[in-house]
Amino acid sequence: MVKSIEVKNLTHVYSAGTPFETTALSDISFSVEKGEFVGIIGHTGSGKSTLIQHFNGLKKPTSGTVMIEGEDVWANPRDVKKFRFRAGMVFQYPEYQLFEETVFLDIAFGPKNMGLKQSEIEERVLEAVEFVGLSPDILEKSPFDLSGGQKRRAAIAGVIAMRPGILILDEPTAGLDPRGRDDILLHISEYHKKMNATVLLVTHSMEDIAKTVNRITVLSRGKILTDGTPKEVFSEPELLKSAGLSVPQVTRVFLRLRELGAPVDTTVYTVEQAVKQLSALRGGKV
Amino acid sequence: MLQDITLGQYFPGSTLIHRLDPRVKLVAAFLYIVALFSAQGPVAYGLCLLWLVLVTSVSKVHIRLMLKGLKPLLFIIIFTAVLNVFYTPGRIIYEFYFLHITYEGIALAFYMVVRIILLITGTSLLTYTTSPIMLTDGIELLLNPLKKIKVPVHELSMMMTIALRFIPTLIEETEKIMNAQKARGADFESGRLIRRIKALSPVLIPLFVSAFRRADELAVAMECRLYRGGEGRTRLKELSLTRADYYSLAFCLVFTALAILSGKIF
Ligand SMILES: Nc1ncnc2c1ncn2[C@@H]1O[C@H](COP(=O)(O)OP(=O)(O)OP(=O)(O)O)[C@@H](O)[C@H]1O
Ligand SMILES: [Mg+2]
Repeated sequence: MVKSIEVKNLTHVYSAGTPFETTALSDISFSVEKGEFVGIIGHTGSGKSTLIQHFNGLKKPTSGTVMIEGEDVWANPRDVKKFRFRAGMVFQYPEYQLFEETVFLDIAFGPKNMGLKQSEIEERVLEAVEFVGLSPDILEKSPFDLSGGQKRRAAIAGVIAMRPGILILDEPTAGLDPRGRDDILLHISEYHKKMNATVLLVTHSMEDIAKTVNRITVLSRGKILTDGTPKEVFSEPELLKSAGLSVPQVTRVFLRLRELGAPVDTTVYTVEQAVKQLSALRGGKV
Repeated sequence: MLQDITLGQYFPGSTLIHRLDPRVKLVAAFLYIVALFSAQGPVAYGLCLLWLVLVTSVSKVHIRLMLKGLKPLLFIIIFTAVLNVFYTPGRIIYEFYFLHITYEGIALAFYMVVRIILLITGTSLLTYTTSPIMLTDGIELLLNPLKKIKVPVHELSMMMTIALRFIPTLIEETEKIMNAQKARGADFESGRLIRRIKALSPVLIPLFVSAFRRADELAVAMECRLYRGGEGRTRLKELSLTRADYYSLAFCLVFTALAILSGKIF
């Protein structure tokens, strides 16, 4: 089967030839199968945003190739635009990009740029609003009158309305309260399942990632440090530490319990799993 | 595209030019402009060029950077040159229907282009080597006498400091918003002029909203620290003139005088 994303020897250098030259990505090779839900984590400045902006042709590789659904993004530079719709990208703090008079028009901006019919646009806007868990009443409101969390959802809906086969989100939960965070992640998982979409989630939060993804890629200083299932990645706390990251808090609790001699399994990375183990320890009683 | 804007950008360094008092650098830039605009004949221009080359080499600013600042103005430079070549009356060298190329036209165009290039590279050297804070401090101190006639010098320089401070932030913000809209299929590069202008509203509206938000936040932050204008304010870094400053000033005065006089003599 064709891979959703295939990156070969990707290098990206910013401001080449000036005193500010930075190598943000160096010789990265990485691929994602159709329908995978991948978490990309890494310390500030490790190159996460730079990497994902190659997947819809916003950034051009300094060297190396990026293939999306089997097609080289930069094979024909004039055709790059079509990849914007295939790989939908939600930027960090997407609420700052809202600009239309009504929420409806703002969500319709993407589909309109795709050249869809009005009826199709309406259908997609309604669907997208449902996917992010907003009530359709707000469609006629001004986006500037929404609450912070609603703005964030409206902005995400603006990308979902393009029905991208690959959905990429750059820290979609930054600055939200725990409830809002869980809720947005839940809706993203729903999009992943219902549309059989490939989803890439960039985040700093181990908790976010432990709950939702089935694969984790760790970036460190422009290189891939490790890549595997959450279980595999979280089994190497020392390696994560060297990249300025750490395992989820519950896992740390269990690692410490183990150190103290408790007979626990340390491959625990969500609260639910922790509860199960602890209750098993107490003989099945919660 | 946006990265090409080098205006107001400061490149830190520790050369003699970087360490000069900003007042001296401002006066020097002013003298340089005076010299450039009163320059007549090749010797005067040569002196200005020599002056620029000397200062640039001491400041260690890369020549490529100096030329980069010219890129956004290429159109104006070419336009000036063409206009001067064709519309200056004088001895005709070449005629093609209604177009005349004159000897005087070519000479004038050449001098105009040299003048613009020297002007822009010379003045951008000032911002390349002086941090915005130093620059506005310098301006404030130079304009201080105007306080006597009730010019709000401190407020003006504070406004300028803030404006300069926010240029890179706003450029960065513009890029971010442009990328976000491009990701939704916005097209800023094709279509006719009217369409392109219309295509800017998805960028300009969020940009204005965020600029106002930033202004608001900054105002609150300043208020919280009891900012109340210039009266009785002291500085973290008091500026004082050193021997190097006086020598540099003398050097600039000599060059200006030479450039003005050379036009009269030769
Ligand atoms: N537009 C740019 N110009 C120059 N350098 C840049 C630019 N954008 C990013 N960089 C540099 O590239 C490196 C990687 O940045 P990137 O934004 O990809 O990191 P990140 O992993 O997304 O970080 P964060 O978690 O803070 O968002 C950093 O060193 C950064 O300073
Ligand atoms: Mg980032």
